[in-house]
Amino acid sequence: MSTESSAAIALERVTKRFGSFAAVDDVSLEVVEGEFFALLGPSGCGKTTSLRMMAGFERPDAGSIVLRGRDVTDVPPNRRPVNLVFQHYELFPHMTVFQNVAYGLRLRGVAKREIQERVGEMLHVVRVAELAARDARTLSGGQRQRVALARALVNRPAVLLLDEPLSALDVKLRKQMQLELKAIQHSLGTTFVYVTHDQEEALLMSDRVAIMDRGQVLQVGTPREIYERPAASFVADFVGSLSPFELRVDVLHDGVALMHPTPDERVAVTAPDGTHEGGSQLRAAVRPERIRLMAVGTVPAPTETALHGVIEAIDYVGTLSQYRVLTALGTLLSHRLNDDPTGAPLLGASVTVTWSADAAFVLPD
Amino acid sequence: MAGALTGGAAAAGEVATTRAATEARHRRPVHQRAAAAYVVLVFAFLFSPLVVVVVFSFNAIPRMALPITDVSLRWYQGVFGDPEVVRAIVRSALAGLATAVIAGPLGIAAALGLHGLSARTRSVLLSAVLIPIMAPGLLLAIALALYYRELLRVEYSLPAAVGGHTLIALPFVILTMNAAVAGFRFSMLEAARDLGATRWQAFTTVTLPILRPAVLGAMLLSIAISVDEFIVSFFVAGRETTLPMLIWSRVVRGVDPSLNALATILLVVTSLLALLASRRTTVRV
Repeated sequence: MSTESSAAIALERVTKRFGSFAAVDDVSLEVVEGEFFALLGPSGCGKTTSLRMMAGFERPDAGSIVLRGRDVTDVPPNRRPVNLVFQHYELFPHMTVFQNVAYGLRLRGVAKREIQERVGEMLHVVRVAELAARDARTLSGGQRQRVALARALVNRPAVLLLDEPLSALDVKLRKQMQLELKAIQHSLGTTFVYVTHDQEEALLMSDRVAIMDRGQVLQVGTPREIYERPAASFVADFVGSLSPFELRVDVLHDGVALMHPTPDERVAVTAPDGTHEGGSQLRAAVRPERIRLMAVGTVPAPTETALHGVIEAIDYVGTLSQYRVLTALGTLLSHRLNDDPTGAPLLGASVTVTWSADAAFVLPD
Repeated sequence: MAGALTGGAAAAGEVATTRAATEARHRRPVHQRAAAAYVVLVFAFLFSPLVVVVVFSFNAIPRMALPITDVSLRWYQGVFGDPEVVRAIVRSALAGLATAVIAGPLGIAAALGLHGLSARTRSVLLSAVLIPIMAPGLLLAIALALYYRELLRVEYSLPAAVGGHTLIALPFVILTMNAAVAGFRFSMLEAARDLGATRWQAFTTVTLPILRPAVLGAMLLSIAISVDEFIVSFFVAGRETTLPMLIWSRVVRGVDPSLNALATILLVVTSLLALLASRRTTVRV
């Protein structure tokens, strides 16, 4: 048995194998009470298996699952105070919306009047109160999603588990539901564990994100930490886009590594003291929104990057344009808001490419 | 350019086809008329014996000859006034219900059990399920008769016949239920479990209600099979004569117009059951 941590739900050194394949490999995670926690990773990374172990549908081969300080590893799903919103909702087609939402309460023998009240209230929260009498199979995708959410939340679970609940919706509806889910979580204060492969969704919705790959958790942190200070190359690459490069360090001073790909060019990267020294190889990357394109002749500060570049391609994406710039480091990606068309570089133009040292980060091995 | 060309050709073609269609409506090509005639012949072949039986069951005179001059229900009155016939009808009804009640649950359980196996094992077993009904009926009947008498030492009786009927109905029930189970979302049971249902509660509140139409359909089919069954009943029902057995015994005695009425009743009952069954087992979305 275990732990005096404040975790709403925790995996403690959990391993789950399917045959010889370790879907989840010695994973430990703690989800704090009341937070919106995302499990983010590509398909097959073990995020859904982790979620299903929390729900009780998979039994870990090793390790334990702790719910509010209680070891629930051997507790069957129907006796765990958690609820799961399934990827394909799994509404009961032979029941009305009301009956679907009331299902859990009825099984627990809640009084009829209380069921009426709580179901009505929850349908109101997810904004489908007017659908109560409808047959579940007549609902649209978005409505199903809301009813599935109500059916789980009405039981007041200690933790609500969500398995890619928005993946079946079209983009517009998905964006809207992201904000709404976040608002619902905030107003109810329920702990959410949210599985997704969509990094944008994870960053937008969560208080904290765990990045998984090949059965392991690579990093747990706030969206900002994950995005700006990735702890692993995989994380850096999976979350957002970036331009990686590798150079030999010439000078290391005050936590800034300076490198010279050619005699009159300069690359600046923030490198924590003691991690690198002059002459060592350094792998680093910059996010596209931190790379600025200046008119040729502009002179960046001595601790900033200064590279010659030629605009190779321009990808128009509405609010911003993505410039592909050929430099001594290879092709770099730079984003520029389309708020002011004057001064926007043209295709084939020469530019000075610059970023401040703190915009670039060392890529972990 | 190419588009314009094909467009023009299509327009010209259209005029031609419209004219052709108008002509065709009056005078279809020979091969089409032949096909239509063939279909009519097939249906005549399929239905004429049944039509003859049904038509003559309403004939007032006891001679099976055309034209029919007088229509009457006397043969039906005679049939229902005959206690032996009424007893046979009751026995057949009982046997049908018993067969459905036994084969239904067994078939559902088997289909659900099969679903848990690997696809390969399942398809082998599903083919194996068909063997008893592919075997000649006479063989099955003789085997059952020996089995009851020599091994189980059971008297030939209506329950013994029900055993045989169940044996014949079960493969159909399993196949019907297998189709329904294949379309069933088992992940829905996880949703039920997640919301607090035990395995049994998930079965009774989700699996059964969703599969109910297929279950009822399969049970109706079982009744139809049992009511219609003759060979096995003949061997193992003993003195508890069912309706098909009674008809047989009367045919042996000599053709009697009331047989037409009896056969018509049997025909109507079994086709109604089969029709209801097929409507229930048709997948609804």
